[in-house]
Amino acid sequence: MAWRSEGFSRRCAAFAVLTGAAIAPASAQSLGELRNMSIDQLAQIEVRSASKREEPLSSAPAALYVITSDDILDSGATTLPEVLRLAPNLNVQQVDASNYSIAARGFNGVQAGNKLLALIDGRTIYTPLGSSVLWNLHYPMLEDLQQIEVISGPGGTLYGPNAVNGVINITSKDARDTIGTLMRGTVGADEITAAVRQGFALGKSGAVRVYADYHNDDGLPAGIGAPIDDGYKGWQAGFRSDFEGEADHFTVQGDIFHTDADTLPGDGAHGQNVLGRWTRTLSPTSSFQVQAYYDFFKRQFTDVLDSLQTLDAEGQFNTTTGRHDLVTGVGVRTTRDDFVNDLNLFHLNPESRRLWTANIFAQDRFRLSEELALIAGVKVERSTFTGWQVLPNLRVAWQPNQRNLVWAAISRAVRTPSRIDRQLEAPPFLAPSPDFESEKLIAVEAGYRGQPSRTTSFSINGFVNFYDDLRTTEFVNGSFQLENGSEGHTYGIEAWGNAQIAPWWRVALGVSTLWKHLHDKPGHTELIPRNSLGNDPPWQLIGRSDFDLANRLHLDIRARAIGPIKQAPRVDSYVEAGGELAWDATNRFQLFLAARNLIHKTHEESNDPDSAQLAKRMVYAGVRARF
Amino acid sequence: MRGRRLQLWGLGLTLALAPAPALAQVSEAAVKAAYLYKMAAFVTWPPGAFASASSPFRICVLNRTDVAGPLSELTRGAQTWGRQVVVSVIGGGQDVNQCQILFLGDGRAPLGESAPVLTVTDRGAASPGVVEFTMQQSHVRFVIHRGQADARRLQISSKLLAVAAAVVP
Repeated sequence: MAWRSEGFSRRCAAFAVLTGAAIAPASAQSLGELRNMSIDQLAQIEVRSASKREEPLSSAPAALYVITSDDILDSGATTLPEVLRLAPNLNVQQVDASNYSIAARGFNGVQAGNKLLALIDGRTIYTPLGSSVLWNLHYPMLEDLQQIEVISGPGGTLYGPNAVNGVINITSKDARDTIGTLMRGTVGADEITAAVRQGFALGKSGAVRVYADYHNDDGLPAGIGAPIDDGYKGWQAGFRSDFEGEADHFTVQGDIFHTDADTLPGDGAHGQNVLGRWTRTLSPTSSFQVQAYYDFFKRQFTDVLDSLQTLDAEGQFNTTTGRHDLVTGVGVRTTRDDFVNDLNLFHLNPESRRLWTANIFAQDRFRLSEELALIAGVKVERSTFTGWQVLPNLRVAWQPNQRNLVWAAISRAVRTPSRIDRQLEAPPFLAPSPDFESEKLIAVEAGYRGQPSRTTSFSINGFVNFYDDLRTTEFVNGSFQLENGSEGHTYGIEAWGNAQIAPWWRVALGVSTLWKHLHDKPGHTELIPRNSLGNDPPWQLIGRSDFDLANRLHLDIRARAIGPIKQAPRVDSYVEAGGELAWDATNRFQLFLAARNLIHKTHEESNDPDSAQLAKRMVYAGVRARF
Repeated sequence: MRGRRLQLWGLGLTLALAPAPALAQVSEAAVKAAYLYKMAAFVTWPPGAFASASSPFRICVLNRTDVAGPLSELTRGAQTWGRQVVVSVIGGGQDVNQCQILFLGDGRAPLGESAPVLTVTDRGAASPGVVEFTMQQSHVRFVIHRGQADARRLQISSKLLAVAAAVVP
């Protein structure tokens, strides 16, 4: 559901403005004058229809941080989770060589991290097993990513289920933007990657690319968790094709992957997916889009077999009438899972289950004036485990000029029960919870985003989240059971900005803070808070400094200071740094030297008592070539 | 491969000194059309960019009649680099590799990454061209992406760089 973006409806509005201009062509006289003008005189002409569509900052009234494709390449990161460290509004914890837990606005952890929606090109990648994201099943080719939108806070109407505390929306480039050959290789003491992509035009208005990406990571030293052999290697390959007709755009894409984990013989994962999307422009002010995908993966880890098959279909209709930009849509998804645990007593009952999720949504962006817009949306959602749930949100955006946006929002979001919430059991220790309800959130947010000067940009957001029916692990009638036994509120501030200090030097700084006041509801007692209430540093600080050292030589330094995880087992605060030194030897060849976690040989990041290993210093060299 | 670091040039001065043209307000599309035509003089194309010595200088416009209309008017009978200027409106059925300047708006065309074509896009396009139009207080300005120009082997004159609202290395 990545394509349900604000941008989509804005593009339709933009089209209306353009056709308006076409109806009233410039007079012959003024055209003659234009012909005789110098190019710097053109720059001074005041034009009609100075629409808001070319505004320099996104008008999305949400806490939005965008990682651009250049950010991704300059960072020297080799995996998706390492790229996500660029977002100040995400907390990224490396668990082992390939596993990460990632959260926005708290509730991070291997077990607790279940309130985030992540999408790759419109394909949802959190699993209904525990509503978490298994990041080691996704190795897209980073060079072909267009951008990553990170929204902290509920995603509003337009994103799909599970957008409770945040949305990570990853989009890859249109195939028409990746024509040609690209090769990349990196070699370090602990990691090797190699990738190749070939893109070519197909007919007059289409293109296709195919890619393959290999990675091989050594295991990490043992940390808080049990010492495990967490080395991980594998490959992912795939394609994306885009075609454009008079009023239509078609996208067909798919991936296939296979990984081997060193933990036990036979451990690893494999899977494949295919997605189709059709967009049609019906008129200058309306369009629709339909999308469907199939996704399958199967993984085996320490005598646990887990597989998931997903079918998803969605449709969306956008129209602009007068001062209203309307978006309506519908989505339905079904999953069939299979979870077989031969390692310990914990199992799902039944082991295999088909689940359904459906939603209908509508949103109106009403332009009260040139500067003020009101966005009201509602999504109605239903899943196998719940009845219809109503998720409204109301936003206001005030944009006094192109450089400043002030917004505020109030939203209701829910996390629908996962398979683990309802059907995990381990008799006689853990009883299943057939009555487990959705966790509920009312989020109140406000923010500012702007460009105080031509060389600076700045964004600040504040939020208060009111939670109810949060998951607890309790002791009921002689056994453990999952209950909706906790409530409370969290609040915090996120801010980031960047400044061009000199033509050759840019700096960026981001900070996020989190205060949590969660407590047991009357009659309930949480016994294992780390499993549900999160393992969150109360603050983090992320900095970056980019230097153009010389012609074709570029240095990108990144540092982060992460506060302590006070939830037992405790992880101390730490400071780490890394970056990339890149030399564009020619327009086609780039050599780079990159590092992560450079300050300490090893450090603790995750406090997961079962699996957390130590994050480690890594240095590697790479080459990238384009033909 | 490079970060989009804005390098600001001394444009404030140039602009303040030039007299404001006394024009009735014209459309944004017409000003963009004028830019497309005028820019040709400040860009050098590599050898081999033209099929033959007598090939015309082709400015292509993807699906945008609002720009193509004024552009055809402006370039009637015009020559640049000793070649006749031809404006083509492309609706998805033409080989864009033959264009010298290609205005994409916020659309896309299947163009080789290193084809010697001066790509021009609107701000907000999914992938910016060598030249990216941007609006600044009702004025049409442009940003130049130098890395893209290098990849396409286009030489941009310092005069054009100086007029640009920003130059991205």
